[in-house]
Amino acid sequence: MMPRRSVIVSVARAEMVAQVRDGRIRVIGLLLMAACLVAVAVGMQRQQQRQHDVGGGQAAMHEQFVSQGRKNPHSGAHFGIYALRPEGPLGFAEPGLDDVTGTVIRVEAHQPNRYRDAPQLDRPGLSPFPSLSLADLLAIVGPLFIVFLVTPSIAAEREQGTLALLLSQGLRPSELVVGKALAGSALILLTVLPAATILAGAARSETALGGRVMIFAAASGLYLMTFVLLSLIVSVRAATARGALTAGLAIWAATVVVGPKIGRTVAERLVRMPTTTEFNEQVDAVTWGDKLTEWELRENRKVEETMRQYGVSRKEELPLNVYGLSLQMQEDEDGAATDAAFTRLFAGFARQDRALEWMSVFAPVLAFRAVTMASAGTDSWQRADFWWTVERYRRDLTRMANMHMAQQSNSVEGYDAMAGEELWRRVPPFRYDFPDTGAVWRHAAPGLTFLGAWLLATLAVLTSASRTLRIVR
Amino acid sequence: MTFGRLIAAEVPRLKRDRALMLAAAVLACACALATLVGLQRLSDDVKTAARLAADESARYALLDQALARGGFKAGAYDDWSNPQMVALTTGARAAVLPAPPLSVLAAGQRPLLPTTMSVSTWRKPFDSRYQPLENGWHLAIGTLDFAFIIVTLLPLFIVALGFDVLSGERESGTLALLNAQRPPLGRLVFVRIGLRLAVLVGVIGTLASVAVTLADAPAADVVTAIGVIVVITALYGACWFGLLLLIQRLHRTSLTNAFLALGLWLVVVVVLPPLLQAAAERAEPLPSRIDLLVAARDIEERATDGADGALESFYGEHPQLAQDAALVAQRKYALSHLDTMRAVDDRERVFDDVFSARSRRITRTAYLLPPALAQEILQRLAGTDAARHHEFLRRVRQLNRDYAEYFYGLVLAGQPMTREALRQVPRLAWNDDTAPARLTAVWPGAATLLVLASVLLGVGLWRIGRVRWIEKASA
Repeated sequence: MMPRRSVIVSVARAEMVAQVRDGRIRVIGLLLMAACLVAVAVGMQRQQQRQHDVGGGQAAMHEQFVSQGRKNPHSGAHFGIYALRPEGPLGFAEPGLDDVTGTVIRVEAHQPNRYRDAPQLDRPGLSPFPSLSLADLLAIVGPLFIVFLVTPSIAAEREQGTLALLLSQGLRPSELVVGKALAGSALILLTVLPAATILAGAARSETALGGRVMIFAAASGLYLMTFVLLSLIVSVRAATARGALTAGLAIWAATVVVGPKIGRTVAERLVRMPTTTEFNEQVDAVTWGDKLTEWELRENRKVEETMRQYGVSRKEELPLNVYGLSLQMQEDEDGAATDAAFTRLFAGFARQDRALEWMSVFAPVLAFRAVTMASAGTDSWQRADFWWTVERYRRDLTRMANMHMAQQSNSVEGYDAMAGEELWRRVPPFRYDFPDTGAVWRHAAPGLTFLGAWLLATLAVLTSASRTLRIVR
Repeated sequence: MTFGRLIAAEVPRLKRDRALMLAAAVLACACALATLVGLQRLSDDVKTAARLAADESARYALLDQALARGGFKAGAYDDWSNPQMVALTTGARAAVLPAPPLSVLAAGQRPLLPTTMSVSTWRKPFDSRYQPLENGWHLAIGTLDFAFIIVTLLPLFIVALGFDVLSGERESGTLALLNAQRPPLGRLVFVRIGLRLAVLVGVIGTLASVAVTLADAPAADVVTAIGVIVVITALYGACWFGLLLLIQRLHRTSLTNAFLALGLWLVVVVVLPPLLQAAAERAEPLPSRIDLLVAARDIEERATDGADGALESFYGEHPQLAQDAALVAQRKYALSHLDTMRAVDDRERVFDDVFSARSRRITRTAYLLPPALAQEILQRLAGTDAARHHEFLRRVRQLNRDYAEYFYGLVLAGQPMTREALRQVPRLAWNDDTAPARLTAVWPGAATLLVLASVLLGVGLWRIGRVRWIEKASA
């Protein structure tokens, strides 16, 4: 028998009125609403400051590079530049990994570098929850609010004896459950509405953000709705409101507070990553790195090989600067090796991330964070994408300097070749564009699927539980 | 009725308390997992430190042998009699922040900040290659350790066990009955919550002692760690029980008490610490690190451009060294490198100063906030606090300067590398305090926690023991 829409609306309306009249819910709801607004406002201010710093810093560094004066092209490549990662498009709502792993990469000859200057470096640790972004609030506080709001609802009716009264008046259990679910969903929506409006406003002001905001909103909706249904399941099954609240809190603590840490531990065990020293040793073993003697020997071999190629007996007779070629040979050989090492590194991180996403079978918050970070542009994948963009830029810059040295100079006595602004200007300012929305959707899809699965599973359990709704337990 | 009799009467109730047993079991599982995670991390850190030490010893042994034979000179980079060549890579000093065995209790800043670096003139010690290579998402999630269990989870268990300590009695109609018994209500409640807290503290203390014993900590450290963990857990738990008693005073239903207690947990543990941190960052603003990078590049360029002038003034001060034309390029490089390093160092010191100011401010704030205080104490005890890491980073920066000044000093003086000179290459001498010695840093925090716990618990028990209150509550 289909539930009657008008009855459901009546139940939902009555529940909402009762909840809004409850001072406890009102206070917590208003606090959460205010916290969301403050988090978004602070996040936006930080994002603006960061964009300003990155824009200004990147331009200043390029200007420094261009005006470094006359010097050997390879020395110019050593002087290099820094690539500054702009804040993710929705970084104001979800700072993600930028807060803990740094956003600056040095671009220089010979070696690709990793991220540096994490904000954590200047932050004395005070809290196990280091930031409080909109995503943090939705992930941690949102479900707790729902537990407060929804878990006592049906259990309290049972405890107070009003459940028997409602059912005896012809109300079907499914109508009661759907009405309560609607009321809970509407209240949580009302609570996050102001922050959601700001997000929507951001999307309207910049069309490219629209897709990302939709992904963020979809994840938030699925995640919070899952908790509404979970709380209702607990409420349907519990004998008393106290019991329901205790069980709801236990589920919240297990899935939101402890679950991610256990998931992280499992992911680390499943996919073992090298330590910093092990990774450096792996890279050093396959590259010229700082093996300066070997470097010298290889350089000498390159000189002899080039002399044979040109059929000359003295290096002074070569028509090009063989040291430039030698340096480029090092870049090419090391580049292939470091590409492989970093590909393995990022693939390892991606496997760990996937393992963590699978752990969302037990803790949906992990799927939620995977999706919000993807939508914000602050996840591992988009950080790796930035890294590869920087590495391509580094290769181009170094190749240009080395080949200029090789082709433009007839001097083969060491590093006498010189270059000036005309060469440095050929290096374009560094620029990074975040991946398009289609790619973000693809990367967010597994997380959204997990969240969807959670929603369907809780819906199925709730449907079954509501069929056997008992007046007394 | 004496406390002994009250305890004897309460113990059978404890055994039947399924919620307490469940909480103890979950806590034990979490502690066991934290032990495994901590031991794995410690083992990785110890292996890395040993590997780096062995690598450095091997390099120095080879250099010593080569210098005994007058320096190996197969190529320009193998001229070990040249201090500049030794300083480049082969003479590099490993700078390692040792993982204290007690770090098994609190990961603290270890996963976030560099703990192993290499000091040479080839690479800067703060090069990104020494940044921790951790999955960023894992860093953002944080580590499951004893500090997290005590600071974050323990209050949740306490709330779950104690939100209805009196309101439950009232709702079931037994409060008036309890009050009619001989022991005062305050004493009865004290025994009830004390025993429950003792069970939780016992679980954490037992597993923490297993963890530090398995971590091969020295006996004195084990005893100190167990003592501090037990005391801090008990005091911190007592603060939460005290807060619960104060909430009971509001005469609300158990459900409302649970709401209030969890709201309090949310505000005190989750919301306030990051807000206070943000406030400290605003109060002690830091210059932009991007600006520092731009300035450092300017300094480097100026030093390179000014190398001729620097050499000229060097020869002006040391005319006897001016004859050695072969060393001109090396000396110019040494002078410009030293100039750059000193100037950048001065700029970086600003960050150290601001960090210290922020730390002081945050430490002061922590004294008002039990979770932050407990976290600070546990990280200090474990040797994984931010202050120790920053001291390490500061010392590495100093070593970098000493190292460069030592080798470039030889270059500028025109002295070759010798076995004796090799023995004097600066190194990082890092001596950690033992855990008992670290107690001096921990006790002010512990004393504050004791005062907070005494006040909260004392006021709570005093208020519920008052006859008027009991009458009102029973009504």
